[in-house]
Amino acid sequence: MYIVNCQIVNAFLQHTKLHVLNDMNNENINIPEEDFNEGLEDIEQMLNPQCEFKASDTLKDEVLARARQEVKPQRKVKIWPWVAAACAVGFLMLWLTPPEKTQRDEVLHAYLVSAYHAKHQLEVSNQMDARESFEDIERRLRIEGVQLKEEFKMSNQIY
Amino acid sequence: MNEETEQLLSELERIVVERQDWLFRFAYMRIGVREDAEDVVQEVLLNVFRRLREKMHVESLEQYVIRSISNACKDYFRRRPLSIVPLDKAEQVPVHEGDKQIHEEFVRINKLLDTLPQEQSEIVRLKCYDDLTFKQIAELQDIPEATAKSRYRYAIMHLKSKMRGDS
Repeated sequence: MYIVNCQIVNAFLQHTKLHVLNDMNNENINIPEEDFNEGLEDIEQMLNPQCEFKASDTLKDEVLARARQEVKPQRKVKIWPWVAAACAVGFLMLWLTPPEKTQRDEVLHAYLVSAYHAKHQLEVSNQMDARESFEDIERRLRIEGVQLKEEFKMSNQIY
Repeated sequence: MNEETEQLLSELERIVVERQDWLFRFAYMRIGVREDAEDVVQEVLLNVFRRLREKMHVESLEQYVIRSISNACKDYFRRRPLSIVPLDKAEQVPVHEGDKQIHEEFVRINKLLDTLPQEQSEIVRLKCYDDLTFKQIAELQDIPEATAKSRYRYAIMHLKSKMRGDS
């Protein structure tokens, strides 16, 4: 009994829905057949293509070329890691390269070099001054030798 | 390229030769610009090729091609709403010398169907211009066959009354 009721309700809903849809589409399904067929051929003739539509001659070749391109094996090596690496190297080079010398830097550099040399020369000359000359050594040793000789003589006289 | 791929390419070539003019007419009658219509046709044919390549199950290639071109034209208008030219200005659109005839045809048919609701004009276009059966139209539009027929009848009656009024 319940199933029969459901079927009736469904049939009613279906019927109502169809009516609503037909109203929405503004359709009149009950068009008399004779009215419809009258002049139908003329209208259909008018709506048929009146000229030939030809696609470009290149269309076939383009489609086949694109299809061939799709079945071609793809590159296995990916390019973007290499591009990223090149960018990183470029960045590091920029980071590590010293800045260009300006004229002021060059003047300062020349001044520092000359100051260094002047200081070095002074040290060398001081060292040269501090060093004993050959004549001095000879003189000193000669004196020491004479002294030893006299000491030796004196010791011999004592004994 | 292996033998299977060569077979697929020759199959595609056969489909292109058989279908390209029909597909171009279908797309041109909706888009009205040769370059864009041919781009749409190319995409459809490449989709067919991909289907063949992936060995995807297609119940009927014929129906698949019809559905593809119809969807591709809808997508075209969805993607490029700014490139749509109103019908009264379509005649002034510059076209190549060789395309004058088909452009006039495009304008003629669209003017004829302009007064109909969109779903009816599309059914008339599919039936009369694209030469589809009511069964194919019903499958394409996802409507019962009877609805397709009634919409067609209504459209024809409307056109008839309009022509009587004009004359």
